[in-house]
Amino acid sequence: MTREVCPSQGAIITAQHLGYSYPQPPTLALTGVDVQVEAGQFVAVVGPNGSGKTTFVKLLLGLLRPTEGEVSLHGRPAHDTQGGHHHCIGYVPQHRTVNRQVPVRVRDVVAMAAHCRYGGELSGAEVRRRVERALEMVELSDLAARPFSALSGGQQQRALIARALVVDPLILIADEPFAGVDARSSQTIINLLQWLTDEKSVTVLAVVHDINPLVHFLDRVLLLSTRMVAYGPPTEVLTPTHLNEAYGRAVSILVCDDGFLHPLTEAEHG
Amino acid sequence: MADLLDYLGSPFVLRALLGLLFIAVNAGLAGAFAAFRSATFLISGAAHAALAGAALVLVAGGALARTDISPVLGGAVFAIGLALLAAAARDTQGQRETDVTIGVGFAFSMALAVLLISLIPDQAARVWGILLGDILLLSPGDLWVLGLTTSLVALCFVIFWRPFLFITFDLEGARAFGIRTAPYNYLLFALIGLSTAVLLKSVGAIVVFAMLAAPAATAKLFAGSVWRVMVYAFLIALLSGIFALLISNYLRFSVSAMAALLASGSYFAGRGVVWLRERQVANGV
Repeated sequence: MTREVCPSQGAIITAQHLGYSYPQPPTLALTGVDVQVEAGQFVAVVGPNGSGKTTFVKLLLGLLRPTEGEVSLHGRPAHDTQGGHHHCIGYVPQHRTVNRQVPVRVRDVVAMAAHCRYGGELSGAEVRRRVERALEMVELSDLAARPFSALSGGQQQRALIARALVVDPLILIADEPFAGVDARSSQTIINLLQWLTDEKSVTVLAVVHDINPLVHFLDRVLLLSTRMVAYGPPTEVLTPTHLNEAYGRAVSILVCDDGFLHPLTEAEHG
Repeated sequence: MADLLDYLGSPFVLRALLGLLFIAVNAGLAGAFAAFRSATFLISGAAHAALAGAALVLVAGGALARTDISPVLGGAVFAIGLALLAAAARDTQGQRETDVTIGVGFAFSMALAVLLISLIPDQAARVWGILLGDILLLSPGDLWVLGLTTSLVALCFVIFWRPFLFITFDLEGARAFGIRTAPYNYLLFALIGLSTAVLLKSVGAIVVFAMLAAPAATAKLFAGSVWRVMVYAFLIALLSGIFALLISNYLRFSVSAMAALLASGSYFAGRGVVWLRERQVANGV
């Protein structure tokens, strides 16, 4: 149905002079972002705290309307929620932001998105089949009947990724999917995101605090510091000049054998 | 035994039992979702807002004011109004200010109610009746209002179950997946306000929190799924009311107050059980 408005080739995300200011008191959150993301690319959005990463995600999802410039998904303004292009998106929030007061089971969390996206189009059996498949992809089939709040942070994050995957997204947008996640779950998530981009041509855009575990798999990096510092391949963006510009003196940079520059965040210093 | 059967068979007790059934349904629906949304304070706020609405109808006078249900309807309008304001409330940074809005609305409504009641001293008892409530004084008309409203609330939850659950679990995520969250959010808050307002005649504004919110709060301590919270909340509210009816037959206590005491007491008992369990786990028992 509405997925027909989502071509799977060419420019998927286009931002031109994109910016956003919060009203009263006017606070500039983001300005001057110009990016073009092609189908199947794996993009990381990085920058220090308060650099506008989450604002950028909210603009992409249409949760905020740009106060400067524009951002479009499949050629349609992101904030136009009636355009149908939102049916191509899977969104993964931070697991800490969902309401754990609601004692939902893991499979119910995943089914929420399936019911929301497909409504009465699919039979109950087909929804259950898709939910089971999505849970298999994130290796959570065994925990499907467990309460969401009883899972570890990493398992909760994987459940939320399954919720995004159940709708077969062409674009996966993840807001800090590694926050509060242990190393094992992080690796599972990285492998899954890589598989989605390589094998399924899903466009993945992930806000990350620590880019280092991902750096080898990325096609593009967007470096923010309230404004766009740089956008391009990791080797062109992760340079001392750009990193110092974005992080100031708070960041140290490691040059490793892999040929990449690795910025160390404050947490890693600690 | 014959005395008890006579008591249970009397029309006012039968009406009270039916009223308790409706109250329990509201506790399992609106009460549970208020607890999930951490918006239980809305129940207290809406209850006291309803007092101002009831008083306003009586001050306005006319044919409407002479009917039994008019104060309830006036109260429902104010309760829903406060609920909608609470759902809409955001500060200048876009952050939710639900609690502040409910608190200010609570104070505003109580002040307005007292002021309006001072204008109609001969009818003050009708408004204060809503403040205290009495399930044994439910008239057939009151039951109709309670039954129809409960049916409406239940119907809305059946129809909008999935979006209600999604926005309650992850409001922003629901928007990102294409749900127009604002109308569902307003409707959910309005239903909580409506449930609160129609319970006032039977349990009163002061203790409505105990019958609507406390059962769900207790249920959340033990239930591992949304459905179980709703069923447990329904049962706790219903059993609290039935026990209160039975106890009051012997001890002549206020049924509404006793039911509220049992329902809210179940929460503290539940917390005690949870505390004991945690202690046993910590001690490796």
